[in-house]
Amino acid sequence: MTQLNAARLPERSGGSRSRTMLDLREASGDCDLGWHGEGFRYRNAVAYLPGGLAHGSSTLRDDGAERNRWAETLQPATEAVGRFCYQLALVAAQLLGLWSLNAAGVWAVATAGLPVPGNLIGMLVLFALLASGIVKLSWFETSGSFLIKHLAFFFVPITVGLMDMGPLLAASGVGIIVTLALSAALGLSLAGWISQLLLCDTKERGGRS
Amino acid sequence: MNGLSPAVVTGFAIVLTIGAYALSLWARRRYPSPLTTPVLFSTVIIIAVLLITDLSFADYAPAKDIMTFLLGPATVALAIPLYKNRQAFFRNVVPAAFGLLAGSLGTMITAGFIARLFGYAPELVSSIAIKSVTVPIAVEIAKILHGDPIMTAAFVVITGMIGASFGPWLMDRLGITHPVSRGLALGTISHGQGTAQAASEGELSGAIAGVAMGLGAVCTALAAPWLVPFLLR
Repeated sequence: MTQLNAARLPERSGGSRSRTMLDLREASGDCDLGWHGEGFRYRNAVAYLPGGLAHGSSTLRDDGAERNRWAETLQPATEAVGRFCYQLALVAAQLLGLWSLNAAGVWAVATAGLPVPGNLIGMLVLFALLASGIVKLSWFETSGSFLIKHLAFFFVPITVGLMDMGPLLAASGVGIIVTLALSAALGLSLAGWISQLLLCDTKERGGRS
Repeated sequence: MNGLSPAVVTGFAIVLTIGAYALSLWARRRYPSPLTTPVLFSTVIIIAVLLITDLSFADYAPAKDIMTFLLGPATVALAIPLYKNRQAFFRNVVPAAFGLLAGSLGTMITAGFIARLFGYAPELVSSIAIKSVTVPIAVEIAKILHGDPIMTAAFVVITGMIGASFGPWLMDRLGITHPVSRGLALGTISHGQGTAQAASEGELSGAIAGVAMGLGAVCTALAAPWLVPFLLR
């Protein structure tokens, strides 16, 4: 039974993806509650595996003492390793998926000769896949949310290129900055003001959902 | 080059960039102000350190290529907040569309007009006019308009910095408080950097900004070949 337990551990951590609360409960020894109380997704998955339910129920009822002894020593460590490997594989697969969508967008744009950025096409394709239900949000959420949260990071190395613009900025830098700042301020005001005016016309303000 | 091997320089540049970025996140939390915007703050630190250590941008470039490898996938991932907030977006589609058109066309015309007043060369005027578009497409539009792609990229980055740094401050002064309007304005004018700034204000703002960045790029790409020659006349 312990072998079976060990063999199934990655699956179990798979069922509890990114649920820190439940993970903590499992780690604190409340395993079966945490696992079986976790909801339908994992249990349904088990039901489709040959013999999956049988293992599940035997774990729950039968081997008490032996299982507990092993569970206390072996389980936390194995589970942690399994969970780490699972998360690593998950992030790698998600990044590969996002990268493929980006590459497909770049390729499509280059092939069709469209004046549109490829990553924009990739984004629209991912949105269409999500909206049509072909792709589930959970498939990309871990990596995607992290990348978006730190989107600013990817612009830092590009802006460092400004250090090579010294001569141009010295010659007509002030004028360029004035032009960029004034036009940005006007564009920001126009976009923000007009949209807010129309938003207030149609419904009450502060529509944060 | 300092006689160091490129691998050491690249490793140093990556550690420096991540360190500066982490420091900027801390600084923004501790002292929130336009000057502690992560892109501005990190860039200043990195350029200062590169100048002190006598490294050029050419030395830094391999590290830049490694670190921006995930920029494309990260842009694709903007579909996630967009999908999550799709109902909020479609509810606001009319105000957003008008704001987007006014913002992206208004900033292009103003930039081109002021650049003309300063008497800049046509190449420079074209490059300045399309500065509110995300870097990859701005470079493509610059080629169509016979602008300078490298200068365009620099103007795009400066505009992103200006908008992301001072945009929230300006909108506070103007009473633009709605998260949809703030996200829309930041994404339309300051593309990716504005989107990152909007995303730090809230997920709805970030999602709308992501859409505005994409649609603003399309809008400018379609309008610029007609508008910019007119501005140059």
